[in-house]
This record gives sequence, structure tokens and C-alpha cells, in this order.
Amino acid sequence: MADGAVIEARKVTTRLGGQVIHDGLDLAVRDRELLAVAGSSGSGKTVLLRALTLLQPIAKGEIRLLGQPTAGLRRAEARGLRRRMGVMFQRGALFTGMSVLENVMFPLREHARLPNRLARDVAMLKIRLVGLGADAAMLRPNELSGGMTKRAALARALALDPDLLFLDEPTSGLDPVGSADFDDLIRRLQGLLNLTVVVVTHDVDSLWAIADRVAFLGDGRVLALGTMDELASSEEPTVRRYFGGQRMQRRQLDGQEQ
Amino acid sequence: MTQVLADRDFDEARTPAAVRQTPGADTAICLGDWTAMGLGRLARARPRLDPATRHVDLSAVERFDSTGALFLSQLLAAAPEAEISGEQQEWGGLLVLVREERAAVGGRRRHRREGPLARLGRQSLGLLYAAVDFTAFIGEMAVDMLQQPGRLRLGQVALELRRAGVNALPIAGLLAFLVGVVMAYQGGTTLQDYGANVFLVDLIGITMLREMAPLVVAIIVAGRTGSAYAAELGTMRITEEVDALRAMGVSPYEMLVTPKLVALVVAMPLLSVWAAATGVAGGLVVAATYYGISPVTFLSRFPDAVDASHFWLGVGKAPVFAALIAAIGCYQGLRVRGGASAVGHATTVSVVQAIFAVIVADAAFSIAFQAVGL
Repeated sequence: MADGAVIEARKVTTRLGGQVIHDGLDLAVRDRELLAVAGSSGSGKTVLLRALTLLQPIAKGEIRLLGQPTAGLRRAEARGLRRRMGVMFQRGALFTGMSVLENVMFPLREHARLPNRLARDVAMLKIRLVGLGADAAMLRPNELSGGMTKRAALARALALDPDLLFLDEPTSGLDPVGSADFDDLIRRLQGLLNLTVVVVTHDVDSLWAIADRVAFLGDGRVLALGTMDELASSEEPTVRRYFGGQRMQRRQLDGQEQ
Repeated sequence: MTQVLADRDFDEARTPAAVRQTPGADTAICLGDWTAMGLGRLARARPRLDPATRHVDLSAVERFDSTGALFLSQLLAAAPEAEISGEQQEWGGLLVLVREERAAVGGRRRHRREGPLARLGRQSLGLLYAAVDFTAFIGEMAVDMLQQPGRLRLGQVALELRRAGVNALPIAGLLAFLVGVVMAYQGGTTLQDYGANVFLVDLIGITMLREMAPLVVAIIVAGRTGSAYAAELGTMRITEEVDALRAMGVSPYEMLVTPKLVALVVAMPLLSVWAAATGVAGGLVVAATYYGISPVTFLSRFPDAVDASHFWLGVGKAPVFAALIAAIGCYQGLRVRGGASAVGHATTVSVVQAIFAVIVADAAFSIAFQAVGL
């Protein structure tokens, strides 16, 4: 398969409750690219993310992460691999019993043997990196607004400077300004921390703003893969319908005017 | 590209980070993995750079991440004139970033710990507020109930009656039966020494009807139903279902609390009667088997030995216990704030407080009954 792929899915088939979600799906994510996974609701975007992060067992096929096959990993190997992946869940999945700071420190405490003070400083650095203040660090998850929850979840996913970052609907539930800010943040952090990012999103503005390439899912496989420009001019009917909506046309008009 | 990949295996054998500096030399050499995983030992050793250090050489560093960058910048605070060299191109962003962050934040903010006195004060106040809060809850519930007494949801009440009452019959009966067995054993041995076997009927009858049956039922109901109320309402608070009810103009008290309270107040005296019956049955079985009191003797003596007032006092306590358990369970559930762990906490607290309240109430009843000569 493609050279330089850090995430590879080969002929992956997944089933959920007897229903086939992916049927022989192939996907390769290049080193340090930002790949967005798009597709209509129910096309298996989140399931694919869960399969790639080894949370969802696959029925057939192979997933290789960082060049290594992931089937039959031993505990220590799986732990080592998970250390190098950060996952941000759609609703944040922050631990409710802990403050934001403790949430971000949690992976550091579990995996790295840093002195407490340094771990605290590293966590605070990550919290500031995602644009939260020192006051927010002391808050509990239930005291955070939607946007702050997303940022805190991102800070936790980045705690160990992962090589691979997986984001599930990072801008869902955010207003347009908040979404745009979050997109900028993801872009900036990707460059700064040398991340390979996989984003599941159905926010078309996000796709234009951040994606190096977009994988469009449908019928249990990747229907189209390419830059946003390539996808927008795709001949595939499902892809055309998805991107043919009003919002997209407005976007393209804007582009032409500029 | 392949080199990058080779570097990115998930090999566990990492080189720990290190700093080398010969005393007096103006160059410090960094080696190994300057990452969250590799820095542990070095950071614990709290190395210090010579203030006269002019060069920090990163060319022997194998991996570098934001933890490494942060730690390096903390080291450099001791050697303000030091210049970094030998860094790989892709680390530049990290180094700049960490410097910026430090400049922006300045000094470290220390987290203040509160002393024992402050903690005592906070907890005392917390207790006081909780008492006020609970009183307010009772008041709100009462007002809600009294303002619209017709709006009792009978369907909900019936559902709760089945869950709290009917479904509790087997466990309550079994436990009361066993308590009866144990009491008959313990009492029987002593009474036998005095040849007063027949007083076993009095012992079993009075203690069972008056004290044990309502108490055993209260403890089971507190553990089984009170905790369920707290968990159910607590989860509904977290998922904002309680707020949704309010937003739709439905009082959560009317919908959730009152039916539970009414159902439990009805169910507990009945459970208590049932528990008294099975408890006496347990005593009867032991009396007949080991102490020579035939079931016929036992039952014919029972009305003479046990005054009806014992039964009524016992059953009369049950609704009070029920109200306490239901109110505490619902109160703890409705005041849940936060997340999953708060629900667990509320559930535990509801059981502990309910059993505590029941036993305190029972003691109060004993003193009150004694005072009026019952």
C-alpha cells in the first residue's frame, strides 16, 4: 500500500449487532496529514474511528498503526500503542469526578513517571495550548460550556504528545465562530506537535478549512478519497449529493469572488 | 519517509533522557528521549544547569516532545544566557511555543491547601446547609402535594407499589423468618434453663410485632428502594430529564417524588405485617422443633401473650419509616450535581442516612411510648 502510511486499514469489515457497517474498506492515512472522514449519518464514520483506535473489534481485514499490525497485540504492546494515540470523543468523555487539570494529568500519571510538579506543568501547558485559562483548569466537567468541554477533551487527548490524534465530531454543537476557532486550533496544534490527525466530521466548513484529504464513506467503503476540491467535483452520485447542497455552493461562490 | 517510520515503532526500550555537563564547562549536552515517557528519571533527579552555561546542545537528543521542551525551558531559567543548538528543524515550533507560554504566564501560581480548621468549618457549614436544604425540600414537596391533592398520579403509584412492595415480599419474608429463627434459638436456650419455655411465645410475639418486623423491613427497603430512588433521580438530573420536566411545566415532585412517597407509605406497613407473620412463623418452627411447644400451643397462647397494641405500634411506625426513607432517597437523588461519581455518592449517602434516620426515629418512638405508658 501507499508509502508513508501511518494508519492503514485493509479490507476491513465491521459488524454491529449483526449489521455490516464496513465491507472491505481500504484506507491509508499518510504521515502528518490531516485526513477528514466524511459521509452521511449512519455511514459508519464513528465506527471506523472506533475500529482505528482499537475500541471496536473488526470482523475481517487488518488495521496497521504506525507500521505495525494490530491483530493479536499483547497487553504491553497495546498499551505502548495506545500511548501514542490520542482520542477525543464526541461528547468529551471527561471524567466527571475530576477537574480539567486532573483529567489532563490522568494519562501523564498513568503512563509517564514524571514528578508531580512537572506533570502538572505539562498539563497546564496543554490546557493553555487549547486556549483555556488557568481558572478553567480547576473547574469540573459539569461546570464547562460546550466549547470548553471540547477544548478540555482535546487537551487530554494531547497530554502525552501522541503521534496519532483521532477526533470525533470536534465541532459538533459549536456555533460557527466557535467551530472556526476550533478548526484553527486543530490546524495550529497539528503543525506544532507534528501530529497525524484523523477527524470525523460532517461540518462541511471544517472539511474545507482543515482537511488535507477527505475520505468519503458510503456503502461500507471509501467512496471517494482526495482533496476537498477533488471531492467537490466528484462524479460519484452520493458524493455529489452530499456536497451539492446549498451551503456548499455558497462556499464555492465565496471562493470565486475572492 | 521510511526512516521516520522506523523511528515510530512501538518499541518499549527507550533511552532515558540525560544532561551532561563537565563542571565549569559552558556547554551542556542533552541526550536520549526528551519526552514524557523518557524524562521521568532525569526530572526526579532535579538537575541544575551551571548559571554560566552558554550552549545547550540538543544534537544527541533522539526524541523531543512538549514535555521535553517544557522541562528544557525550566532548566534554562537557571542559565538565562544559554543558547540552544543542534535541534532538529521540526522541534523549533515546540521550543518557541514553550518560551512564549512561559513568558505569558510568568510566575507559578501555588495551589493553596486548606488547613484542618478550615476543613472543619467547611464541613460544619456543609452539614448546616444540608439540614436547611433538606427542610426546604420537605417544605416544597408538602406545598406541591397540598396545593393540588387531586393530581396524584395513580398509575405511577401503582408501579412504585409493585416495585417497592410486591417485589420486596420474598426477601422481606425470608429475612424476617430467619430473624424469628435466630431469636427463638437465642431466647429459647435461656428460657429453658428456667423451665419457662412457653414464654418463648411472648418473646417472639412482642419483639417481632413491635420492633423487629418494622425495623427489618425498613432496612431492606432503605437498601433496596431508597437507593434505587436516589440513583434513578440522580441519573435523571445528570441527563437533564428533571430539567426537561420543569421546562414542560410538569412538577418533578408531582411526577417523581410524590408517587414514590405515597407508594412507600402504603407499602411499608403491609410489608411490616407480612414480615411480622413470617418472623413469628420462624419462631414457631424453632419452638416446635427444639423447645417442645407445639404449633397449637404456640398459636393458642399467642392472643393472651401478645397484646394487640404491640401489633398496632409496630405497624404504626412503618409509614413514618417509609416517609423518611422515600424523602431521603428522593432528596439525595434530586440534589445530584456533576457526573457518574456523584450518583454513586448520592446512592451510598441515601442508604446510610435512611438507616440512620430510621433507627433514630425508632429510638424516639421507644422513648415516647415509654413516656405515655404504652
